[in-house]
Amino acid sequence: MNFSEDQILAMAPDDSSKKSGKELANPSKWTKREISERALWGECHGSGKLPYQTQVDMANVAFKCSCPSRKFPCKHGLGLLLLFARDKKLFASATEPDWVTGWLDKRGEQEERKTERKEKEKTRTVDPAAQAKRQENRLKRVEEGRIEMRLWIKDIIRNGLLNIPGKDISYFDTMAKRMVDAQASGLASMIRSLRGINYFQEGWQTSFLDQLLRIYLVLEGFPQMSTLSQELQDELMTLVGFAQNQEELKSQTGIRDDWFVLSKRVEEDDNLTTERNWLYGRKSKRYALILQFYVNGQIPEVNLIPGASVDASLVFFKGAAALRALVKEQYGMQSETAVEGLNSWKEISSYAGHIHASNPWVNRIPVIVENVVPVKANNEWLLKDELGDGVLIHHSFQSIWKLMAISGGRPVRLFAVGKENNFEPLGAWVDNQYKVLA
Amino acid sequence: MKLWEDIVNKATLGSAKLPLKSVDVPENIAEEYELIDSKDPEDDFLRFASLIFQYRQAGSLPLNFQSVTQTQAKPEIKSYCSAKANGVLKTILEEELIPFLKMWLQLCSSRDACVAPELIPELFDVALRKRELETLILDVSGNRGAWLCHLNSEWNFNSPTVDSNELWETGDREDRRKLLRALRTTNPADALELLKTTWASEGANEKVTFLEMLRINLSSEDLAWLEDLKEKGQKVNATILELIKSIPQSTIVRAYADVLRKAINIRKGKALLGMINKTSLEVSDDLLIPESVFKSGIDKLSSDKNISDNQSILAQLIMAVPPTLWNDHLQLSTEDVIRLFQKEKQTAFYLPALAIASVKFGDKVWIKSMLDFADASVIRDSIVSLINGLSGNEKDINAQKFFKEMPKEITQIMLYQEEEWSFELAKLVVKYVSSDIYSYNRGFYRQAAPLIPVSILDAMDMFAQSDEQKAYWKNQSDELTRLLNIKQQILQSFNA
Repeated sequence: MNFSEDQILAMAPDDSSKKSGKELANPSKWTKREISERALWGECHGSGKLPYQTQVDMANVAFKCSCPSRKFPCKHGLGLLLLFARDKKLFASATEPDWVTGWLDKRGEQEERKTERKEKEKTRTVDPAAQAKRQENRLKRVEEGRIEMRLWIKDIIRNGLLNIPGKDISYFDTMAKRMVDAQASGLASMIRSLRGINYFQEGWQTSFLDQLLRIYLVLEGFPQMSTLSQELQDELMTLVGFAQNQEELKSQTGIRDDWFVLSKRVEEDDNLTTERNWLYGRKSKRYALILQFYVNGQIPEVNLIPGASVDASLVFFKGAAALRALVKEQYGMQSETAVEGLNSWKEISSYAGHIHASNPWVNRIPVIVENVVPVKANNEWLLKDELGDGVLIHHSFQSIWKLMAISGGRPVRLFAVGKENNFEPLGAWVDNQYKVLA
Repeated sequence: MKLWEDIVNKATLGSAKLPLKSVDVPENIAEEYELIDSKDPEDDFLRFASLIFQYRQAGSLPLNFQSVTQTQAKPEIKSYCSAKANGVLKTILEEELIPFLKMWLQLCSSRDACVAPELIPELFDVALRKRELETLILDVSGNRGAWLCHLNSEWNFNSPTVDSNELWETGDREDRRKLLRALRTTNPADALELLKTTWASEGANEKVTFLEMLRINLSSEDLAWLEDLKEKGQKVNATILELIKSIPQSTIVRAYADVLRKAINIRKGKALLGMINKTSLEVSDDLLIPESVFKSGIDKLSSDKNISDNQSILAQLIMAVPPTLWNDHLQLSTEDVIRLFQKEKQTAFYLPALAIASVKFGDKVWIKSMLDFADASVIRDSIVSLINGLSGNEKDINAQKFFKEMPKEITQIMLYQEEEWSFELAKLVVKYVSSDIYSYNRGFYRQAAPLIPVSILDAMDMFAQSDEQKAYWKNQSDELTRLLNIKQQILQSFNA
C-alpha cells in the first residue's frame, strides 16, 4: 500500500513523535528492513542492548514495537513506515520471522476471541422483567427532566435572547447537569453546545435559536414517538441519550465498500481525545462519520488515514439519514482512490433538502462537489460553481490561502461539511491528488 | 430569508416585549401553521419558529454569484519540484529551520523549479519575517505565487506598480532603506542620484544610515559628491570622512600615500664584508606631515610609551592606504614587500598595519599573501579578519591552517560562510565544539548544519568525549545527525 509522508505523519500522536519519526526514517538507523505481503518490519538500535523490533501490519495498518514508549504509534513505527514510503527498494522481500508471524497471528486470534466473546454476550440471558423495569424508571426520570427543560426554554423565549451573552457559564451548566441527573446525557450535551456558541460573532442569534429549536424539537417529539417512523424514533432516542449497543450494531450486516478517508479531525479535551473521521463509500456513494474516543495512552480501534482508501465493512447507527457508523471489519487498503461528487450547489441543495426532510436535527452535511472556485466578494469568501451559484465559506475556516493556492482560480473538486449556505472545506483534489485542508 | 429574520428579531426581544405571531407564512406551510394554537405564547412561538427553521433548512437554495468573477493564475512555465523535495520543505517549515530553508530555496531556484502551490502561503508568511529570503521565495513560487501576491495585500512584495522615485519620496523608513540598498547593489550611480534628490531634507540619523549603505559598491564615482558635502552633524561628518578614507583616489588617501612614500624607502647596502648586496627598508625620522592629515583623524601623539609618535603616525597612515601602494612605490611583488617589511624589527612593526589595510581595502591578493608570508605571531590580532576577508576554498584552507591557534574565533566567522565547509574543516570544528558542549547548544548546530558536509555522519564516532561529557554530547550529536539527515534529504531531492 502506498502512503504519502503526510498520511503517515497524520497518524503521529504528537509533534515530537513526528519529529523523531522523521529522524528515524533513515536507512542507517535500521539494521534490518524487510517486507512480506502482510507486513513490514525492521530492527532499530536504540538505547538498549538489543535492537528494537518494529513491525507494521500493512493490511489493517497497525503497529507494534518492542521499545518501551507508551506513545502509539511510536517513533520507530512511524520512522519505518516513512522510510518505506520514501524508498521501497530499501526493503527486502523476506519470510516473516517468528516475532512478526506471532504478532500477526495473535492479532487474528484476538479478533476471533473478540467475536466469540460477543457471541457469548449475545447468548447471555437477561432478565426481561428487570430490564423493562430499569427502562421504565429511566423513561420516568427523562420525562421529569424533559418537563423542566421545556420550562427553561420557554423562559428564555419569554425574556428574549438579548441577555444570553451576559449569562454566566453556570446558566447552561446547571441545566446540563440536571439532564445528566435525568439520565438524558444527549440533551445535556445539546445544552452544552449552547454554551460553546461564539457570542461575539455577528449572527450568533441564529446559531443559538437553531440549536434551541433542535432541543425543542427533541422535547416535543419524544412523548409522541409512537406516531413517528422507526428511524426517527431511533434518532430521538439517541438524541435524548439512549446509547445504541455497539456490539449489537456490529452483529448486523455491514456495507462493504472502498471507503475513502476524507478527513480526520482530532480534538483533545482534558484527558479525552475525540477523533472525527469522514469517509465516503466509492461504490455505495454514502458518507460515514466514524467517531473514536480514547483517553491518553489508549490506542484507537482503527487507524484511518486521510487520502487513503480502505476496504472495510461499515455498520451505521440506527436513525434517520444516519451518518455515524462503526468499522465492523477491515479487509485491507485499496490503491484506487478516485471519487466523484455532485455537480453543482443546486444538486447539493436538493440532496441536503432530502436529508433535512427526513431528519431535522442534522447539523452538518458532508458533500463532495465538483468544479467549484474559491473567490472573495464583499469581504466574504465563497465557493462558486460552474452555474454561478455558490455558498459562503465558514468564518472559522483557517486555510483559505492554502485553498486559493491549490486552486489558482481554477475549479477544483472539494470536500466540505456544512449546511444551507455555509460550508467548511476540509479537502480538495488537485490532479486527482487529495489535499487535506483542515 | 425575511421570515426567519423576523423570528430572530422577535426572539431577541422576547415574548414579554413583542407578540411573537407572524402572518407572512409561505403558502406551502400554511396548513401546518394553522395547527399552531396552544394558547401558550411561548409554545406557539417555539412551534412556529421550529416550522420555519425546518422549512428554511430543508428548502435552502444556493446564493447567486453570477456576477462574481475570479482571475486565474497563469500556468507554470517551470516544472514543479518532486514530492520528496516538497516533503522535506514541509519539515523545514514546521521546524523553522531557516538556514536549511535558504539552502532549499537556492537549490530549487537553481533547478528552475517551483514549489507545490499549497506550500506557498506558508513560504510567504516566512518572507514577511525574513525579508532576505523574499526574492528566492518569490522565484520558487512561480506564477501561482505572483497571482496570490495580487490577491493578498499583505503579500504585495516588491510591487512593480510602485515607481521607485515615488517610493523614495513617500515610502516609510523601512521601504526607503530597502529601496536604496537594492538600488545600490544593482545600480550604484542611480542610488546616489536618488539619495541626492532628498539629501538636504533628511534627518541626521537617516543620513548616517544612507551613508552606510553607500559602502555597497563604493567607488571613485561617489567621491566628488562626498567631498563636497558640508554637514553640521558630527556623526554625519564622521561617516562621510570614513567613506572618503575608504576610496583610494580621495584627496586624503593620496595625501597619506605621499607622506608614506617619503617616509619609507628601499635602502641598498652591502653585507658580509661587501660580498653580498643587502636590501632593507629605511624609515625616515624627519616626517613632513601636512596639518590636513592630522585634521583628518590621524593622531599626532602615541598612546603607548613603547611606540614613538612617528611610529604611531606611520602605522595609522599605513592602515589607511591601499596596500598596493607598496607594490607601486617599491616596485616589488606583494610577497617581496611583506618579506622586506619583516626583515628588520623596526619595519616588522608595521606588518599588523599592513594586515589591517589589506582587510580594509578588501585586497584578496594581499590578504592571502599576509597569511602565507607574514609571521603569524606578529599579525596574530589580524588573522581572523584576514581569513574573513577571503572567500571559498582559500578561506577554508586558511581557517584550517590557523584553527588550532584560535578555534573559537574561526568557528564564529565560519558560521557566516555561504559555501559548505570542507570535510577537514568540519571535522576540526565539530571536534572543537563537541569538547565545549556548554557553549555550543542546539541553536549553534541548527545554524552550522547547512555548512557541514553530510559525509561527517560517518565520522561521528570520533567525536566521543570523556565519559563525563559523553551523555551531553550524545544529545548534541543526535541533533546534528538529525539535521544532517534533513540536509541529505534536501540534496537528494534535488539530485545535488
